[in-house]
Amino acid sequence: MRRRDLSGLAALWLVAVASPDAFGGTFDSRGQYQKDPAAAAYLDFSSPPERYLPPDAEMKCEPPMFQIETLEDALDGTGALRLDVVPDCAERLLIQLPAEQGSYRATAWMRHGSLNARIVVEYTEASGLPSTVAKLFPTGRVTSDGWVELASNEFSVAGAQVERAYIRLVSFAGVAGVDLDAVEVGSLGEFNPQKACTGQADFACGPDAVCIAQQCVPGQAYVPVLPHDAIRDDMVDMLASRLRLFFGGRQSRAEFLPDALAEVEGMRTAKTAWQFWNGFATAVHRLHDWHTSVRGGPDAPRPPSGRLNACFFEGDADSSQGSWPKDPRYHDILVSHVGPDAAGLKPGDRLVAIDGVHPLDWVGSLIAVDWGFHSATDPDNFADWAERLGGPSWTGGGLILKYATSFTVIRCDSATMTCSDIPETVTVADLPPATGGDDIACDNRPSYHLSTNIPSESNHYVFWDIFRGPIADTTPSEAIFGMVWDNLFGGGDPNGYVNTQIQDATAEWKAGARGVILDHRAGNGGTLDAAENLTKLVRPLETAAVTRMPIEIAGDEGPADAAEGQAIFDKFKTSHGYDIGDPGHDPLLPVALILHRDGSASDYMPFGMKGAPKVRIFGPHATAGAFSTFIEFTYWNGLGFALASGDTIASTGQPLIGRGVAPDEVILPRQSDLLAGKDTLHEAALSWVRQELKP
Amino acid sequence: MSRRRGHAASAAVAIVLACALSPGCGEERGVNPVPLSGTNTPDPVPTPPADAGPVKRTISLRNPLGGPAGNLFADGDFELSALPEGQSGQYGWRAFNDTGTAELSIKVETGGLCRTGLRCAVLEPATILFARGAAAAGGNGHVASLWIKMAPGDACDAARVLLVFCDTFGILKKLSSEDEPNADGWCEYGGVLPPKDSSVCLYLESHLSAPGLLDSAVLGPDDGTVSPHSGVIWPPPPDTSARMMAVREIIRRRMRFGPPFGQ
Repeated sequence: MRRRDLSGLAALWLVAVASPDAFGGTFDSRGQYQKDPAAAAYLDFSSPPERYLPPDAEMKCEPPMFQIETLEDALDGTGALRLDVVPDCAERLLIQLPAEQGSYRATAWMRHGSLNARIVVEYTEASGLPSTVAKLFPTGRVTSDGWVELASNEFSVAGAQVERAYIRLVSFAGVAGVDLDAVEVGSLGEFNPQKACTGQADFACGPDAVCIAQQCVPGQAYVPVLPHDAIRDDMVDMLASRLRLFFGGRQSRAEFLPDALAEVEGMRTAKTAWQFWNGFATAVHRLHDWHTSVRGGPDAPRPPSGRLNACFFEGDADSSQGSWPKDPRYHDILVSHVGPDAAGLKPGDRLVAIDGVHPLDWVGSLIAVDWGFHSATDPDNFADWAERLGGPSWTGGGLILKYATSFTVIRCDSATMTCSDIPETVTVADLPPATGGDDIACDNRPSYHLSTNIPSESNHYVFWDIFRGPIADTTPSEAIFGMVWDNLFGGGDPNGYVNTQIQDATAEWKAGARGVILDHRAGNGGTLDAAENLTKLVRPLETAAVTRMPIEIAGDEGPADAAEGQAIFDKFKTSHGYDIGDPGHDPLLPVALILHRDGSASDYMPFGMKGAPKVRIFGPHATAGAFSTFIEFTYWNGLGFALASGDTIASTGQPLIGRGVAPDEVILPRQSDLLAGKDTLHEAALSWVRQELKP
Repeated sequence: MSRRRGHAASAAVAIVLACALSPGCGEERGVNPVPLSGTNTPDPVPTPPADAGPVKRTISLRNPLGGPAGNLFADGDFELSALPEGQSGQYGWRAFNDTGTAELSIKVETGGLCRTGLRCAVLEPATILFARGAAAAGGNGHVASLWIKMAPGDACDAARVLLVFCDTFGILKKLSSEDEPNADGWCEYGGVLPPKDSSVCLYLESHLSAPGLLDSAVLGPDDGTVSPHSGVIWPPPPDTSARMMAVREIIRRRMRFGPPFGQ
């Protein structure tokens, strides 16, 4: 009996070590690595590898960031590479691939620390081909002496046109560097040529690729391999449990979590790596939360050929609804402001369709395509979607350029104050390339209204800066001051830039202003200290809410009713209070707050302002309702995700997440105002402040 | 529960299939879910033929996301918290200097050097680690465990492991351990907690003489299926309290209410 068992085990072992189902090589019965004899390329580091240094590499990246180590426990032979890559640099080791067309999978083994590795194939300029990228991720195979197998999915190479191929390496988190051995490129056979496409609605790319900037990008190049059957359910269980235990608050869990978990369940039966990992990305997107996101994922191998240097926002197309009616669910989409190369668009022009559907419906269709997909938590807020249509990709925008085939506009004439009756459809591939000038950032502000210290109208780069001064076209006796800013990151530092600016501003306004206009139309949030500080201008001290986050009790669905919420507030108002106001506030100073796309600390700030006797909030709709913080998770090679976690309970007992702060005056930018060079929301705010001037 | 049993059964089948279909068999297939207590012994592995010579290494297949799935620590297995030098964020694990006044990067070990999963933390001397967690739902109490591979010569009390309220840092329990590491050099720390209505986190001070390893931190509902260490009530000395408050200040004051990932 014993002999039979041993025989069976030995047979099993031989099957195991010799199986052709390996990602790369195999192990012999002693655990010695055996490379795939058919490997197309192999680096065992028995001798120094040839490195590639790009001509534009920084000086600090020029010296070799590796050495050959002689190790008893090298994976193959006795040589391994010890990497110690300088921060913000990468090491590149050349790989010789066959000159014919082929399809490959790369594997490598690393240990000690962490390693971001990718295969990069660059083609000759004459070929016109963009680079091929294939990232390597863990397969789950490890050795008892610390080696971890990394593997890419399949990638195709047009061998005859290759300029160079290399493995790009970034090491970190090792005590004394990161070991690398047995870099192997195995031949898989069938060559899949690079394909062009028109947009995400184009089926040319097939189910496992994404059309980005008119190029089919294989999704598998950016995600880990399909997990082995033996660990797949455990991996799905783990991901599902992070969502189930840690995500959200009362409204977001009730409304969005079930759909997300159903999407995760689908990962169990995924047939391809892209289906599996894109399934998880889609699940995260289905959580429909302002703080919740994935990172990594496919990217265009080269930027779009054309430029659409324009910004869009929600508005009221009062000059063109006769020729194209308003959508029953969504606001109209208007051009807010433009830079050079904007396809002839001007402020007040109207974007009526992308690929034949309403622009916001089109953004919603990207949920399983765009890994940067991002939603407000409040289900009735689409400001983030509108803002991302235009602007540069480096600010998270540029969706039309990346994913659309065509878009349809109604052009208007500011001289005659009329709009065309005939929509015009523009093909994205026909957009001309950039001719110069700054990329225009999208901040939902058609223009600025400070008389000094004005943000640049040529680029709208407000970002982390705070601009304040007298409001333009007002008189010194009116003493109306304003602030334009999007950043509430006080960082817990009362002497930092943001808190100092806010404290100085409020002191000046209390001393010398008769009215204030706060323009926060691209509120990126930050930390609660800055939000609290601003409220000290307008109301007495009180505890407005309690912050219960990250999620206090795993999987907590939140208070069942207002009474339960009230009990939570009462219990934690001393230890977890969101405290607003100040005894030294100015009860006579009118403060107009203009909002448009605002989330997180930029939810809390208006929440703390609203209801103060001399505050009036102007905006097109409620804020994002992102009343929580978040927990981050980082996997390998840039893949990661963040989950909103926790909720905020108001003094009324009402959980706040998922329901933004509604404006006191719901007002949309009007198309007719844009054509006349007016900023509707600012005009309304200024008018109100003038009526309410401090005596 | 029945579903979990179903998975376990299918996993048992899967391991045979895995060995039949995959190289590197001898695979440590049964590492997930991680038991809440006790050792994490790999499944029996096929033995190489007797005449093959000394075994250099064994190969196993592990869940790169760690586990167990019900872990109330956000990243107890340390699979989702490794960052390049100088980067930080609101991750499952965060490290601080020995006064708790500055955040540090965490070094990482890999593969079979770790107890579970693909990655584990290098526990350096004179550092503080903080692990994010949540309280058990349904009025359940808690069972906690954590494994540290000590530096040679260090006893298990070279690390102090506390369960604390995440927000106030009020100490809930000091996890207890054997006096000395096991034969592999690992100490297991454990403890139980009654039900809590605020989140439970882990605060750890390393007084190791040289770098060790930290892995497999698990916080689970105390549903009677395990026999954990009880842990001890532990009033902290003033210097420890000061360090804890310093860490708390960094975490609380910098808690972000804006886009993750620098978006």
